[in-house]
Amino acid sequence: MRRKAKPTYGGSLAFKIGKYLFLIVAFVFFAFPLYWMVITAFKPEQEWTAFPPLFFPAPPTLKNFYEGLFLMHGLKGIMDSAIIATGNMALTLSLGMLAGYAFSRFRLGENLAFFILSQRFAPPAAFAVAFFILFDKLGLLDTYIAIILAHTTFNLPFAVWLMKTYFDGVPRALDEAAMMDGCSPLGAFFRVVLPISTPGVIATGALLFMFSWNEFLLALFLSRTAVTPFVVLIPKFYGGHDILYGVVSAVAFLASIPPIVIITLLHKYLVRGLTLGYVKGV
Amino acid sequence: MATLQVRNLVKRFGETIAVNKVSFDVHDGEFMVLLGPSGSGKTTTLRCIAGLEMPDEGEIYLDGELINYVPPKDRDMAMVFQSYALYPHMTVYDNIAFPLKLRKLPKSEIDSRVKEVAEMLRISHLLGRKPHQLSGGEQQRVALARAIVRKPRVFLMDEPLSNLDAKLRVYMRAELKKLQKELGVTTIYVTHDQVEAMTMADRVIVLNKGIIQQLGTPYELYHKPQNLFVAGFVGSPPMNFFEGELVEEDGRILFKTSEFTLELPYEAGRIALRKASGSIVILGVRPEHIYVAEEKGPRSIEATVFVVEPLGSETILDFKIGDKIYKLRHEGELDFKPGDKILVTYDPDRIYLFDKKTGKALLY
Repeated sequence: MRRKAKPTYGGSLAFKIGKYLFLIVAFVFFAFPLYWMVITAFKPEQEWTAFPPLFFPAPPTLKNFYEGLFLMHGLKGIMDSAIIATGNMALTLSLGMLAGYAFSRFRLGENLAFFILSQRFAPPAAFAVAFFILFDKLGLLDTYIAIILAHTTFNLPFAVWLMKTYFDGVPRALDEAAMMDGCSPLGAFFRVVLPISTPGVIATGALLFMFSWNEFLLALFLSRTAVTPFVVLIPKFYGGHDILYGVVSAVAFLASIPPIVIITLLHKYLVRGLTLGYVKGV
Repeated sequence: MATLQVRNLVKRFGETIAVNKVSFDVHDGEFMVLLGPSGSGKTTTLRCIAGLEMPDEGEIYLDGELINYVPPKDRDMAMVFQSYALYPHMTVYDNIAFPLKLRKLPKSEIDSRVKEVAEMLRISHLLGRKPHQLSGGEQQRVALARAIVRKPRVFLMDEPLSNLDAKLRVYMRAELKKLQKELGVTTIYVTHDQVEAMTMADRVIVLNKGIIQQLGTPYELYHKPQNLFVAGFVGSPPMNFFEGELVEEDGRILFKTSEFTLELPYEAGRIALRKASGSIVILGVRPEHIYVAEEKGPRSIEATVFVVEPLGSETILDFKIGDKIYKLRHEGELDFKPGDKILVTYDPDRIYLFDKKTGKALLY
């Protein structure tokens, strides 16, 4: 008996070739700027804007890194960004977790939840000036706290909704079982619901870290000299009238490592966190 | 050891009244079943007792103490959920030990109690596993173990057997009943399955639309249903109902429908006539009290065979009178084909009469 040919995904050879061709083009499109940044970081000054362009630095140099990190304070910039991103992540996550749980479990009304989400609709620029004046009056301008609080304001709605959706997938019977077993409502959250939701917490935390890491506008408004996140610092890498492309690339290259490491390590959780509602089997 | 009193319990969800002035007592060590169809308010009642829902009105007393405002953790009640609600991130051992750890018992005592309960429920070999590695029946035992290990004052069970397959359910039914009697813990058990209620309960509360329809022993529910709802809900296959007019003619009490006329036992008929609010009543006969008649008699009715359902030891015969379908249960086999004309009769001492308007039983 002849078996019916299994329908294969992809179909004809031409389709397959087209598919891979498209993937290659897309890959080049997205990867080329990264590649260019990396090689520029290792290029000596005369090759930064050479024409025709050089696709590999000859000879590679670490001078840009030295200048960027130590002479232009890039290291401090990255450290400042790390402090701000970590602070934002910790604060937003702690608040977002609790608020998300409350929205998931108690009848607080869709209106309030929507109001929180609506904070995200407004462009940060609309608030930047207000933040500037507010933190200036409070004497918090140019401090970590100012930028962390500003980032928290904008990231909190996102964290609340992401965590709420995650907690919605955790059966309510588990909290109730914990309460019957002797937990307070908060105890049920910390002992049972939160440990089960670790993937969601990790995914949300990683995203919060990256939002803050890459945020430019508020960081620009609220920082001066004491606190200089790398995103604010890099555009200042000038030598006379020239942009120091190599130095910019070197610091940018180093600054892009943490998000890449996070994504690589937490890839599994991020996919789960972003495909919300998938918590079956919990 | 505990007694529980529920007084005029009311719970509303928006416009809906889920539980409407429900009152009952549960005696010490009693196995009380809350029975009703979905939406009858049985689970809501249980959740109010557990403290997971706040009653809108009424009081709940545990051993005479008002517990309306006592949080669930301080009520000393253990609950078994329909979904078992095992903690997925903990091993079976930790699941069972969880309530003891929260009570800060010494480690050695936790260990010995967990092992003792695991032994009792024959899950000792599963202690190291995670819940997702267990079968439904095993998960069920772990959920029971977690409830038992605490030695609570009251067990609350919310349809704990409904997720098991039919065979395991019958087995666990007996097991659970035996366990409850051994432990002697006051138990409130919610189910929509009347067979579970009949086989396990000391007493049953039948609920419908948030109102108690009847509270009694399984025997009372079956033999003396107080209204049409209980009569129709308890018993499988359910009771047959015939609507007709009750009249007294020449010193006889007759039940007349458009298809047939029956003479009722005089005494019973008199009582029904006196109590009924109108002349239209519902006659109820259980399938096991209807028989296939050999020959025409004063109580025989002509019917047509609709379906024959052989169950091995007994046969359910669906028959039609007019365009309505009724059922009879026969011990042994019946050799009929759909469409066969038959005569059916009934046991005149085993009939029920209900008021059409109020639904109330007229004879008991």
